[in-house]
Amino acid sequence: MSTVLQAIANGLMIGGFYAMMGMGQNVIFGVMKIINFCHGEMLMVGMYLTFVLYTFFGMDPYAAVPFVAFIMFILGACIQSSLITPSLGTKSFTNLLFLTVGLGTLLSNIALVTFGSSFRTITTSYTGNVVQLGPVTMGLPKLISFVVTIIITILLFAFLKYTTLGKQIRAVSQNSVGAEVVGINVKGIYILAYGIGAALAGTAGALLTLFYVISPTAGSIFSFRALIVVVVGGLGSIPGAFFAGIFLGLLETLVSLLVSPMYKDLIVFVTFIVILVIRQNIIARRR
Amino acid sequence: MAVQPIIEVHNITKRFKGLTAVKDVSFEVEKGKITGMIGPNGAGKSTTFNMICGYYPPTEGRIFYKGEDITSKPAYEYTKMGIARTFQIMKPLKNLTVMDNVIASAYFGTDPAKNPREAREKAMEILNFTGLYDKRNTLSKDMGTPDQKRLEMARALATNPELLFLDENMAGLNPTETEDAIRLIRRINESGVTVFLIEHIMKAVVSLCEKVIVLHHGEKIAVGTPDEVMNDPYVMEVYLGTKKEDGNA
Amino acid sequence: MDQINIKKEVSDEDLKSASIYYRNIKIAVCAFLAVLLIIPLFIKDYPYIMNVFVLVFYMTTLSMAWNLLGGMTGQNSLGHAAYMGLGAYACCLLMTKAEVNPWICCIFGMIVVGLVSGIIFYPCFILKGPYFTLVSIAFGEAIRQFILNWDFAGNAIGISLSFGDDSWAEFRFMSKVPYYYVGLFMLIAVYVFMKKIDRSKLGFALKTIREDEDTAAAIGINPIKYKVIAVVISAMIAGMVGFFYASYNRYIDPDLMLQTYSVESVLPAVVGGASFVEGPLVGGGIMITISEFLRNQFGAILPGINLIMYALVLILVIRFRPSGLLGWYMNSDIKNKIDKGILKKPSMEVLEAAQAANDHNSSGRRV
Repeated sequence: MSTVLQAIANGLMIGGFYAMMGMGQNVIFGVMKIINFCHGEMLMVGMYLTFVLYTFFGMDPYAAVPFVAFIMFILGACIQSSLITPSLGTKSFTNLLFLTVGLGTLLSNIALVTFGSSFRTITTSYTGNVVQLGPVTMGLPKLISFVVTIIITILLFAFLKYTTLGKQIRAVSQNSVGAEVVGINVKGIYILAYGIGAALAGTAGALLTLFYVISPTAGSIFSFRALIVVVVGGLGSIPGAFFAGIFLGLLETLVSLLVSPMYKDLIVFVTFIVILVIRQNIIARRR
Repeated sequence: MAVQPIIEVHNITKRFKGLTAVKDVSFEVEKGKITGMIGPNGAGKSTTFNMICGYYPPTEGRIFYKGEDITSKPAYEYTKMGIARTFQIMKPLKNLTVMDNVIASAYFGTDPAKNPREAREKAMEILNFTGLYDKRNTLSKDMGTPDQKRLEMARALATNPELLFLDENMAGLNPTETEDAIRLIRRINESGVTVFLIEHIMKAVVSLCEKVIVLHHGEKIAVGTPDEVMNDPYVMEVYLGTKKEDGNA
Repeated sequence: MDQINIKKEVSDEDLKSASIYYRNIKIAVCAFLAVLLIIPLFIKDYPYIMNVFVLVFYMTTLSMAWNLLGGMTGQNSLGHAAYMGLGAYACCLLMTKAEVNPWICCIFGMIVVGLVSGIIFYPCFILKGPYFTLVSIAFGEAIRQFILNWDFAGNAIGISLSFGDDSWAEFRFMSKVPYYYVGLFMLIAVYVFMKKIDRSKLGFALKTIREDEDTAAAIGINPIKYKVIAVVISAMIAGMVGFFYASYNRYIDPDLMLQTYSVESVLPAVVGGASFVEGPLVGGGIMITISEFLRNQFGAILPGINLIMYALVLILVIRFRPSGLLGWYMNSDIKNKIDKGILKKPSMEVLEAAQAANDHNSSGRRV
């Protein structure tokens, strides 16, 4: 019983990261209707940024989170304004897709050239500390990271719901032409949305560094998980992404525990295809 | 009437969630004639159209084509039976030339081309007929509204239809272009194709149609020759009375 | 339908200029092919250069397979490395476990890939837009994970094919020259096949679906049926490339199906111009050659440098030449000059008239 509870706790924790990645994707998909295929690589960039801040400036990984988020926001805004916005004009979905795929390849290989392929880790004085919560044992960094992901999720909800900019993002998501007509700077919102997406991915990366190896390919695992989350939770739906992320985390850890860790990925992918197809068929029938 | 109906619509109703877009509409389209459907915006014309063309099934009611029940046939089986349609919002194959647009259609329909040569010859013939021959090598996205509307018709004709549905084919055209379009539709009809059209432009409906169906709030309120319909007091009240600016266009 | 006033009369001069143009094109193509055919005579002692050519041949073929689905039908697949891997595995398993002749295994592999992709994607094609791409990624990863966990297929270690005497029956050679010719033949055969599809009913159906599915339905195209046909053909060609890859390298492992390779198979098409049948040829010739050169020169010091170049070229082409290198060339002055100066291309009208006359003659003969 306690192993199951332990697995559930771990699943919730990892699910928090999937949710954060998925929500970033959905902010981007919502306003531009494109899927950001370099989302995992942005997480990886966030990891290396944290690593650099820690190694060269002695900054604690948690203290580095705001800096990483800020840098990633700027990076995302630059990518959006210099590359994606101009390509949106061509209305070619193929091009937009491979633009982000190309960006992902570029980022991970720049990391490979700069830092090499060896795995990096960050070890602080509290890395080994554990917290006992009833029958469940949880590493202190994991617990802190989980709490931070929850706080960020709440902040994101509040931002979208109550601030003017958040409302503008939602307006553009619903109808970009209508939003433009009422005077919203749509291109500005695109930049903001992509920046937020990048910042969320980077923050997730920073929060992972204490218990996850840093490598140029670290993002690819999260990249596709984020896509699953987005699709299962509904393209563009932020609460959907949150719950789908938690669900995916739980599914993974429970399958590892109850079936076999080897089949974890296989089962995740197959479940994804099945959910997607069944749901779309239902939607198509209902029309 | 002695003429046999090519399309019979029996009591079709369409509900979207709570909203009833079309309610209990029945009518017939006679073979070889031009039949029109008019009504103010939101009267359910396009919905009726899309139901007959198989784009979404009616909630209730049945549709017959030459006596055969086609209510639940998918849209892509229609051209094989000899029914072709155009779209209100033009949907040309943007990145293909006008010629290729028509060639694509020539491969399908009641008399599909069997090889590239046949398809090309058929497309040339259609382009010539619709007056697009000179523009055959332009990309369809580079053309203006009138030519795109013509292309919609050319594409539909390339499937060799017996029955042609035209969805607001003259909206957005100036008077000269409308004249051209009316002439073209009449020529199509004279070549033996039954035409069923939705139109806002009253002049076109009056000069083309032998029979007009009037929809209002999803219900059929009148049917008859253009003259009869225009003089129907109820039609004048709901349609012309509230929409005078459209009526004299 | 009356009113046929298409110019039926063609002057002899027009016909002559059209035939000169076609002759010039034929000469150019034949010269190019001749060069490709005699290249191995000069470079057969440089295995590295031979390897680059073989790589260009099979990667370009894979890219053409992608282009049928991505460029022509508008369904952006990111799973082509998996189809290729699945084909390679199906062939190799039959070859090593049952010791069947490799050529039969090739056909078997293609059938397996075609069936699997058809069955999996049939229910998926009700999904429009980005969903197909996502399913193709998940499909590829699922196959890779499946092979990784399948003891019979050697798990992560993969399968080695036997070495031995040169033999056409076994499709096994020490030299790279036979692989060069087979690869070239495969490339040309697939290209000709694609060119045929491009002008055929299937090709027009696929292009119509790419532009607009509602229009496709309106002219009588069943979108799902044609998309399944496209995915099956595309996956079968990818499976054939897998067979070639396995025979050439004599070794396969599940890494063959990594996502990165799916991306690599797409790049030649997108860079060259995905809306052209020739796009992958142009893109493949340029990109894979440069990439191999970079990997060879700098791979040891800076691993990943070739992929950085790949990604940069891709991003720059999409940003500044959205229709690809070929799309850019088609609208450039260079093409005009080459057409007019070297190939002596007559005007569009003359060519059309000549074609119409030709059609007329051939139909006359048939009657």
